[in-house]
Amino acid sequence: MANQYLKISEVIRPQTVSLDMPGINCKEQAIEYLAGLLDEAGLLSNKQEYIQSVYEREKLGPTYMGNFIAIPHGKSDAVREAGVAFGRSNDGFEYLTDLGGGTAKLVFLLAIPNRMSADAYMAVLARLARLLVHEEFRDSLIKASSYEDVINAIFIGEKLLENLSNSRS
Amino acid sequence: MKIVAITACAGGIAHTYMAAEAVKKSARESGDEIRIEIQGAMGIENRLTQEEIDEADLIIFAVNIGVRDTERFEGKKTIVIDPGEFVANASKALQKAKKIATQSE
Repeated sequence: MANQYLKISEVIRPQTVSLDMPGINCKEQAIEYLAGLLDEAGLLSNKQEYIQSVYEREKLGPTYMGNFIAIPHGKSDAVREAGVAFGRSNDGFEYLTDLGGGTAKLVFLLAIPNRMSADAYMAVLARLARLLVHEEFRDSLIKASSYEDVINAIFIGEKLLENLSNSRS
Repeated sequence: MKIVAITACAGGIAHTYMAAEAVKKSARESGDEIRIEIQGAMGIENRLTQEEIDEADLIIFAVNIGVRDTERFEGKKTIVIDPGEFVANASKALQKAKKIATQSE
């Protein structure tokens, strides 16, 4: 099954988590800021080229997911290693897309290398989307005060998803 | 209740998985048995068997685009609910599906 590939806990790093995105008022600023974190962590070979891949994906459909969540993502040769940046905006900001948007407080920016299979890519996205359905998970991200809190919430969430999948009839 | 559901979203794969998880959550909360087929960009995942479809008490299409391979559901009553309703309020959406199912009987 698709979700046996990458785990979010394997691709999120302390340097790519920001629990107080400074002065972010729109989607463009959030993407620029989070891409900067991925770049500083050494995951990108060309930040602008990567950002372009994110905008190309944006054109295909909304990455705003409801419940204050947005998951912009890009697959590109400019990505050295798969990564996820997580940014929280405590006040929230308008995340607008051509096909609907809303207030975003939790933003996950995914960076996927082109060489990675579509399956593996989808698996990370799917896992994140499934996790974010659970209010407990969203709450723990809203309340998190450190990277440890974030990674713990992800560990607990991933464990929960696994148990649910295993117990499925 | 034995429920089978199909999720497919125009918004893309992430929305489709989110809807599937929300449908699953709603069934868990109400103590129903659930099997979900995901129709996404990667094809059909967890494909429902004819037996599962035949045995189901309730068939939900949580979709806002077309469903593939609908011939499996011929002669069966299917309830269509926007996947967004499940994501917004899972148990309310499931209750709505059950209500529609009993009303039209």
